[in-house]
Amino acid sequence: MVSRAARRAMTTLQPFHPRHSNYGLGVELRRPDHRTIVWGHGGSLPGYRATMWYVPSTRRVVVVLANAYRASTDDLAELLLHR
Amino acid sequence: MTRLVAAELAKLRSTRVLTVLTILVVAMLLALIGMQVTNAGKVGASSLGTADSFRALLGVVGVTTPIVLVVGVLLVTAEFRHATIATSLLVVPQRSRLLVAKAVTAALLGGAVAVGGMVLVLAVVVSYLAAAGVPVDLVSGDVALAVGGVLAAIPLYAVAGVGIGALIRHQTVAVVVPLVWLGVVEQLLPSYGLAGILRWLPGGDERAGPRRGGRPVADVGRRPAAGRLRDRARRGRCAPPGPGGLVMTSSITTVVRRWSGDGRRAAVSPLVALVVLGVAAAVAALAGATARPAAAATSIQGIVDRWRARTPVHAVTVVLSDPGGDVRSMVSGRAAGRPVGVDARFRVGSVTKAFVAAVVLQLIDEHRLELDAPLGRYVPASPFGDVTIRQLLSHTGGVPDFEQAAGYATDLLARPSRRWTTAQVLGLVADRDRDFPPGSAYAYSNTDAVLLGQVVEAVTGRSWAHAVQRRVIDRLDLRDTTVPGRDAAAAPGVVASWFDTSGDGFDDRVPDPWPALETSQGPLARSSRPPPTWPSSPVPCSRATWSRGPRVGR
Repeated sequence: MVSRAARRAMTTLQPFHPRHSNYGLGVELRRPDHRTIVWGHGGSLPGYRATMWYVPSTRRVVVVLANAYRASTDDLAELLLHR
Repeated sequence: MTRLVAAELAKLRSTRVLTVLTILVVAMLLALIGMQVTNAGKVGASSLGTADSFRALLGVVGVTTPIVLVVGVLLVTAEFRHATIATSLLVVPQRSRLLVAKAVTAALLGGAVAVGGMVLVLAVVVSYLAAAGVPVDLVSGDVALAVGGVLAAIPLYAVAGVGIGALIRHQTVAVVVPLVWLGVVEQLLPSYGLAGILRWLPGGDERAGPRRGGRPVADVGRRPAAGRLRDRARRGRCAPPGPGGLVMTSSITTVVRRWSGDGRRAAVSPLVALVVLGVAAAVAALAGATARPAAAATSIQGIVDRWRARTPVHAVTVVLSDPGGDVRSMVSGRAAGRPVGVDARFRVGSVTKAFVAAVVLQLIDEHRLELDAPLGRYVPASPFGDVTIRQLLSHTGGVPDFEQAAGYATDLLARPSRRWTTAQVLGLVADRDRDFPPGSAYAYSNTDAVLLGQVVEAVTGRSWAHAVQRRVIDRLDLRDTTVPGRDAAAAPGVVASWFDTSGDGFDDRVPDPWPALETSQGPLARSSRPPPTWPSSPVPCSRATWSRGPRVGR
């Protein structure tokens, strides 16, 4: 997809980010369970909510898609993080 | 000094303070746990089993801070109210010694409440979660730190109470002033734009703690505060905290009743009872936790079903991949009266930003773009020409978020069929002040994605959607991921969806699909047959998309 250098840049924390809400280049870098690092992005639209994470430590992917704006797909993704 | 503290404790024991304190603490803790459990998974409250939910559950011990504060106040003011201060000072002429003794007593009491309360909360929470089949993970540094902070704060509040009591001798005033400060003044500060100083105020630490998540929450049609409050009120009814809680409440009342027959013991009993019951419950809880939850409860389907049962959602689809390329996907729920199949498509909103970022990084790899070049080099007419590509990708450019612009959300709800062009979206913020000078801070802005879409278009000469399709979706063979174009028909099979469009706290069926978003090309995806490797399973789309770049003008 992208070069190694580009991936490293994407997944390197950029400055000025608040705790628990980190961002690389176009990608969120978070610890949803306060421990495991994930790269990915969340999303929402009126009527939809989505979570897409890659877990570098286990090289796994977790994707959760829901059809209600108020559903916390992040929570379900966290519950499934190590499943 | 030891004797002075013992004397202070004796004063407490000989009055009803301890009994009332214990009953109050236990009742509030159980009620709050019940509330937390009931709300878990609902709007604004984390689902059971997540780290944030566990921290919130254990954090209810913090509710005791105002109670011990009042007890601290009473330690001093009672002497004035009952005119015993003269006698006390005749016995202990040095006022500072008397006050220190009271402070130590308050700290001891606060410590007892903190430890006893924590044991009680742990016991109830762990046994409830174990009974519900939710795996409990007690070893988490962040959770331990947060809970430890709450525990440390409790004795400090008690000591602060002593100080307040010494300054304001009138009992009623000394009780009311700090409670009004904590419960009213500090609560109102945010309304006056002073939320920033909250963390420096006595009661502010809880609210100013680390925020949960960090998901950039889409603001589209964010419900008015009143709606959210109504919601909360409706959810406020506490369900029973579960069998453990009920048993504990009744046994505590029994013990308190039995012990209160004897005058001297009655005073000590409540604290002792609390500790004894807590320990007993903790043992029971540990036993329950070690018992392995049923396999169904920990299977993926079980986890998904349990989450869905407590969350306002109709259907959810999940994709998990293993490093070996093994991909598991599943669907739970119904939409529009039919069970949802694995081929149902969901819009993915801002997930699209990751796809666009991949395109931008590819263009940088190909030396067609420069990471630290200003936007103006590629889009000369842009009002944000001084912001660099890096700043756009990391939301550090200070570009105002168009979703926060006045009238945007209401217009979206009022005229769902309106088609927003890139020019119109950017027009919402073109004249607004920057949030901060480029590169000096971070603020998530959907406008950044729109501007990146413009950059991609300027460099490639085609639409951003075309670039995402060709450079990401096609290359990874993501057959079930689509980027709708100009044509609404490009989004077939999108599952029905729900959103509180009327702001009454209840979800309404969204026009199927939301026309404005349809036309603005939110990519879609479905979860069956997900591609085997990482970026592939994702699914693009949405708000961002649409934010970003919808039909590039013209």
